[in-house]
Amino acid sequence: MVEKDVMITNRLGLHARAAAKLVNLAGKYHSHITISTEQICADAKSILGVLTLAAGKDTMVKIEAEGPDEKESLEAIIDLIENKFGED
Amino acid sequence: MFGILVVAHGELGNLLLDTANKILLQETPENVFSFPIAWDCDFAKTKEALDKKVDKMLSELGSILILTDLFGGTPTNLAMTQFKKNKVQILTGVNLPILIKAIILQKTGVALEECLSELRMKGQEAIVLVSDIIGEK
Repeated sequence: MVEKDVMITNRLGLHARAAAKLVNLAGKYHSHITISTEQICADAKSILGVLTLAAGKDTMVKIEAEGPDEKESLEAIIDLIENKFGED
Repeated sequence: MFGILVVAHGELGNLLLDTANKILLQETPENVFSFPIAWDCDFAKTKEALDKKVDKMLSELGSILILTDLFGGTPTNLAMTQFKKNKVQILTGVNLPILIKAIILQKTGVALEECLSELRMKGQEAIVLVSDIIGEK
């Protein structure tokens, strides 16, 4: 299992379309991937799950991945978040 | 695969569907439709049109989930005329989370009857009184 903390830095936070991009990306990998705040842990492949995090700008989230492509999936998701979901 | 038909007042169904598609980053999927009910609709004529739509979807898909906006309203009353156990199920109080979940479940190929409870639960869970959680943040 691999994990990494990352800050949500885009202006709108983990809003609906950003969450959709994350879920689409996570869905391309075979690993089990979760995204969590201090309070809530969600399946990164579930749009409604990811939205329950209500993670606004400057929220720290933890990405955890476990499975055959865990490293690649973790890197890709961290990239997406660090690149502000292609926004701003 | 079951079909999805959103039956709602005015443009509400079209807008819900359009919004769900934008959130899911997709074009309108096959087998998901909106059936707008005009504010001044003639019940009998509209029922006739809905009968045709439902018959067409049933012949192509075998089962349909009808999502309506307001229990007791005309769209729901019209939809209720279409109820057929195991073939046409109606869930009222549609919101965006229910519609998104329905579209996701539809793609998995799950049978209509198996996802009804989950859809109702997801719709209810998605209603959050922010003051209940804000203290935890």
